[in-house]
Amino acid sequence: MADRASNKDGLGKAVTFNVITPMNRFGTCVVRLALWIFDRWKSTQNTAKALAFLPFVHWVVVKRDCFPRVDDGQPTEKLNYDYLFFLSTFNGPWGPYIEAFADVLYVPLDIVWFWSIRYPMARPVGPLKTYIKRNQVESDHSYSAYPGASVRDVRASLEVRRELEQFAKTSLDLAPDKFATEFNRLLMSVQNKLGTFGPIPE
Amino acid sequence: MFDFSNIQGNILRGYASFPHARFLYLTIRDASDARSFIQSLLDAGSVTPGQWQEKPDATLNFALTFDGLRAFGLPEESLATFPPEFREGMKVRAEVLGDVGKSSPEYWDEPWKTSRVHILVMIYGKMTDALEERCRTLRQLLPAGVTELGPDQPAESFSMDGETARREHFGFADGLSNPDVEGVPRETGARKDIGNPDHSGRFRKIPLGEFILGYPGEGGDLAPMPLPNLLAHNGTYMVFRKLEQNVPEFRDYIKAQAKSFARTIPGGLPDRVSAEDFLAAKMMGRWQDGSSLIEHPQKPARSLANAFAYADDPAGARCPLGAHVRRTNPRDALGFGGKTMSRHRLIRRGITYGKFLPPGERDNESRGIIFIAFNSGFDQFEFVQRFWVNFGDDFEQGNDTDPIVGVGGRGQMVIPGDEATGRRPFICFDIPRFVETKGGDYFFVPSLAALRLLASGRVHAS
Repeated sequence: MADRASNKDGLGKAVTFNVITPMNRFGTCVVRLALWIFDRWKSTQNTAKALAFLPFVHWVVVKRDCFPRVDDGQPTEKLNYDYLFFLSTFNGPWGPYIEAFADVLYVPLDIVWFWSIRYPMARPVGPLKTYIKRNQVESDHSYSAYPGASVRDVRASLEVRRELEQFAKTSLDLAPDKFATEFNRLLMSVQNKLGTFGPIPE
Repeated sequence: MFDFSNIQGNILRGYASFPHARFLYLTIRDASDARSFIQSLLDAGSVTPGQWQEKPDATLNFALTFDGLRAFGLPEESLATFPPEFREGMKVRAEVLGDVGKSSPEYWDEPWKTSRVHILVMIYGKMTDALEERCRTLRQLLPAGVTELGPDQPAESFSMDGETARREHFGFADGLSNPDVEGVPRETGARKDIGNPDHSGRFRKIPLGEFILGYPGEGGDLAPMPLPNLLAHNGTYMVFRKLEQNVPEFRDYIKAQAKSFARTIPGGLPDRVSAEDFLAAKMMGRWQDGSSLIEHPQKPARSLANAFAYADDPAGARCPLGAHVRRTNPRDALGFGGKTMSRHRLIRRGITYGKFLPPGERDNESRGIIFIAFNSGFDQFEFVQRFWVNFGDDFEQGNDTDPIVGVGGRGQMVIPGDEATGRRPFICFDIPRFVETKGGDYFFVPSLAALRLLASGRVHAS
């Protein structure tokens, strides 16, 4: 267990975050239904996507008899509970991540985690932090394709590239004054996507 | 309601009418001497509380470092309950805070460079006579076991002719936007103080617990409190930083960039606005007189109205996304009804030191600001410093840092264009570091009751 998620052997601006919590049987059915609804409910998805410090968030229900084994020789564990596996990556420090997550998404958090044993509810956030610390599993390794870029940086770069390629196609035969006008329009369209890249401050 | 007379005066009061200040640094060599020293000051009523019957001519307040609490003889089981950032102190946190290069502790001024201050005494006066008298009295009371580390730090706020707002050395009005805190009497908090945004676009007061220990903060959460409760309750944590401002370098940079910046404005600059002033305002996020770029995007208006929001300026056409004031208090700029910023507010009580350098002049004197911030956990200050000042991701600025106080080091800032006026985007490249750290530490500011407890020597963690 770890008191803070970190990329032990990895690089990159995002750190990983895994929480495994036991659930009662009734909860398994409710959580599956809730996740099915969230998967189709745009407002929750949009809210989560708008939390740009939160590149990835995923819940999975693991039934007590479905835990993987290395091979058939490994004895099957007899577990009393099904488990809820929460996987996320985020930018920034652990505390503010939990706080923002709980402040903004407390309704879906409570709906999904309510069925987990001894879940304290999302607010106030102090008991939630303690609960997460107790159930958190540190990642040993995390792979980042772009260690010096956050998800925001990657999104911004893709947009700049798209705009630039489009500009390259349409500006080939422009007269100088028209070219200047179009270039300024391009610059205006990507002006807030030109930040520098690099490792996150220590 | 909380007992306003039990908390130290400089936390919720700005001391705006006390423009002269001196900071004395003490070290404890004998705990019993330190306890009797504090007791004698309490007996004489010398420690200024948040509530007074009659306004004093001078104020006096105390703060202690972790080493100071230990030197006071606080038991280890109590010391262990203080937050790790406080136990480590600012010197150890230097890299986290961006105090690197010329800002690293090896280049700090004395006494910060070679000593660890135990007690910080903050004395403010309405007039210099009252200030000096209070300093003299305090020094006379110092017992053999409590000695002063030199040199002390004089400070003095200044303002432009006919203005009430204080200015800092780059020429901007300062201290304009402190938090509007629940339960603070109107005559104590400044009228321009601003709360946190809510979903309706209005500003609400900020819970006391964000700044004072023992009260609910945002979301109803209590900040972690050291033990015993009597020691922590009504106390707070204080960040003290001596920040040196390189005024000639700032002015040179603005001047060098201003001509290019002016060329991005079709039809020329607004009336009575120089390119230097316009560019500097874009970097700061306010005009030099303190008026907001959001409400007055074209020229300063001598208005200190502070209830503005950024939601209607999502691209930063008026106030750039990376501007200093938009970073340090993003208001509603990050969306979600301010929920992702509401736990990162600081009460700032800065005061300038050194002489104001008139425009066009150069000298070798040091000048800057004594940055003082109160929060109920150092994670509040460190978050702002690390992720809003020295990093730009939350503001879609990648790794670009705060153009005024950021660690920068030949960094850049994008000043977005404005489709409404036709002004084109402009990128400031090669921005030098204008502000260097020259000392400081993390402090605990006990309540008056806690000071009595410390003076009694009967502190137990349980």
